[in-house]
Amino acid sequence: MKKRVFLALIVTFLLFSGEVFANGEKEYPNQNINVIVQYSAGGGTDLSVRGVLDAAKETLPSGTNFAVSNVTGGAGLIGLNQVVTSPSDGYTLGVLNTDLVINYCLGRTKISVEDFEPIACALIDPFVLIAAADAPYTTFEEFIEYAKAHPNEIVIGETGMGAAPSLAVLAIEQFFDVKFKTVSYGGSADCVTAIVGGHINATIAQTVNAASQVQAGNLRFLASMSEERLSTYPDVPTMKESYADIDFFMPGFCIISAKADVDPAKVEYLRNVLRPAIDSDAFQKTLKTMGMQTINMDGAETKAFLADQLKLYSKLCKDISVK
Amino acid sequence: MSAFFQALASVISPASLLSLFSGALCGVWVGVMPGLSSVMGMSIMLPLTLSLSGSNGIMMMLGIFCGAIYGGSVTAILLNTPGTANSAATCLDGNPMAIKYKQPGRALSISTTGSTFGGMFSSVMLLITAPLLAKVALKFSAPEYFALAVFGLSVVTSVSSTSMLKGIIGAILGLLLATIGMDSFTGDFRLTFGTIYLSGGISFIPVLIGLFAFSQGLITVEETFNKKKEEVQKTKIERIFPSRQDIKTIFPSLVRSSLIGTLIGAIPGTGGDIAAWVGYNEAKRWSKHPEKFGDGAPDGIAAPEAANNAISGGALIPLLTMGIPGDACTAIMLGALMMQGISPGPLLFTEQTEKVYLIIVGLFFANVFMAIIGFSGIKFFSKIVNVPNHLMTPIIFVFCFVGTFAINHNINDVYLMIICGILGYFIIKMEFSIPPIILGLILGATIENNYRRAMALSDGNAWIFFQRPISCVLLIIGIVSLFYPLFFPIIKRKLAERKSRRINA
Repeated sequence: MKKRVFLALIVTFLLFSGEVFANGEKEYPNQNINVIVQYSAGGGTDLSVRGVLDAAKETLPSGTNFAVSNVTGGAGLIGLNQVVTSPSDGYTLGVLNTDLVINYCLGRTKISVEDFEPIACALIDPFVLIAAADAPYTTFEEFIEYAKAHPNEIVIGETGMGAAPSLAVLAIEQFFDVKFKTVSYGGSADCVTAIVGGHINATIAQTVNAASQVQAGNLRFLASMSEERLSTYPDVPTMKESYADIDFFMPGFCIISAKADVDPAKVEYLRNVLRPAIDSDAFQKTLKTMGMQTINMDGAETKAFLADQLKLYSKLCKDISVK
Repeated sequence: MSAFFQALASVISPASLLSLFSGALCGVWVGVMPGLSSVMGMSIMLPLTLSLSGSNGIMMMLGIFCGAIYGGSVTAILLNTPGTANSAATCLDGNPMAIKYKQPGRALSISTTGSTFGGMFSSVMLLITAPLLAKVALKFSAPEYFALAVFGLSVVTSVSSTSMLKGIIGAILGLLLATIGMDSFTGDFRLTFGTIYLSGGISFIPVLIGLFAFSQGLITVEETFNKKKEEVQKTKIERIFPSRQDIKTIFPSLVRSSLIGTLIGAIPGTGGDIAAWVGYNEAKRWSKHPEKFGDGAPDGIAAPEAANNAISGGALIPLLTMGIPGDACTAIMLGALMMQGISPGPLLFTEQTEKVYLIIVGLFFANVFMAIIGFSGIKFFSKIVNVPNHLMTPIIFVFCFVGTFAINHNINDVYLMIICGILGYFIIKMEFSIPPIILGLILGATIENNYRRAMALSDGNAWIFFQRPISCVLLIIGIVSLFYPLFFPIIKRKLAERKSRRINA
């Protein structure tokens, strides 16, 4: 009996250790590629990254796999820190996201976009302005007019000063010279609940958070903060359609990345594995059922996109610190 | 009604029962293993459940969901190591009954009964009252959350075993610890000393494991060195099912806690931890023998267990009716449901009625399997108690380290756990009790954030807490419950004096 318990313990440890004794001589990759996700399992970032990796794992040589570990805490910085301090051998990947860009712009971390080499874009999901369906405004223009006529009256829920939604509110306030009352909530889902419950008037979040409420006719997507209309909601206009000179484009994004100094051949290998996975039926289906979307950008496009985002957020963040 | 019977028929099919059973088995296993949380278990199993055909994937997720909540109580009772904040309250009476009074079988059977009753009760409640409760839950805005958390915190005076003052000091310490980390309103870092690690705040699990388990380990080491020869415990498994007497004792607590758990679960953003503490406190308040609480009272095990399992049905109410996940587990559940083509939300109950019934009936049967696995595992689990201390203590230490590290893969969590463990050792030596600290830590952020949110909504007018009926009632109950243990003896004495005076006169 004792022996059996002992054996079971050993088997359990082996199952969970996931360590493969590596042989450095062989061709890349010859061991599991560890992907560090800085948020908890089951969230949007985690699901999209796992979706891409699941679709891609079959193209890896046999005996190797992607191993996702969720290293959470410290607003995602602990996980990212673990990525940048890992060896640059191409066996540790991380997820470059909106929050990192913002945290860098706010001076909360020294980790920057420059520390990463983007590989594949698992998620680009624009923020949309969400309001109650029975609000006195049904379009983005009416919303802005109402805000101009009633300063400090529209209550907008955001997810904490310095998080993307709060910066989006700031961008709208500055562009239109209007003033909102903002209340911080724990997450976008809480903001959506608060609108449905009639406690606040609007929020800025990704569509997935409010999809079922919009379907049921309780909430309405007023406008998306993207250059083009969303593929998932083609009826929702962009802000740019109403005001052509709007220059801010705000999506939440998750880009699977390697460290900047990883061998370019390995990066190229990973791109060839992961980018087709994004177009695969399996991953597209995952995105569709989750109500999310992405753009399959190549290396140069991703870098240009990141540079734009960095510029936008550093401008907005400067305005916060001035306040 | 025909939709209900259709759902029943499809749940009773062999494939679906097998999915439920294997899900519940995984769940219980995940719950029992230190370091594996229900969230982790569900996310590991998610890809597997997607490959199952039809509703079987959902059945499996429901099984894991229920099983994992229950499994946490086993280690809480036997090793004094709560795997999650949900089962921290179960330690208080479960561990003394199992270790001090050498009745591990009885403790486990009571906790299994409690869990099963809570889970089944809440799934029936879900069936009957979901749309109604969803409306009430929507009324919860910042002031109500604040009031609920204050009510939760008012439990401190009754869970502090020795001195009320020490209990309140402990709670304040917990509240202070909860202020560490990024202030989400302004983005400022508070008390982080420039480290990234603390910027997200103190995480619960290392503190829980440190204060409860590691400190207990240190105390056992001390005792082992003082004692010359250790008597080897030979606890016979006295029983697997609870005795009629026990059932009679715990029944009122079961019903009360199940109601509390379902109601609290229905409010998004609150979880099994608050429910378990409130359930525990109410059980103590209504008990004829409140002095036995903290020393192996059967109600003290049944009440938190019924409450935290009742969360499972409760938490599905906002999820199914509004598409709002209340915690990490239900968030994964939401993902799983959406991938299966069920989009929870206001339309689900009208457009996909058969799916709703399927989930509710599935939840009920998940609890049935959880009970079967739980009761048949008691014999096996309670053998742990017979392991002599000089073997058990090192194993507990190992579990402390593994369990803490496994959650975030972060070595700093382990350091934090050790620090808390050493502090916990002295805290126990100074006869402070641990639960108030935990309560303060868990509820601190809810209290602070919702207070500030309410203030922002009302432009700084504090009357908002009393103008709204739900928050006003909750606050009054909270204040009464905080001072009740303080004034009750005085009132009682006054009444007795008056009575004796009347007799004398």
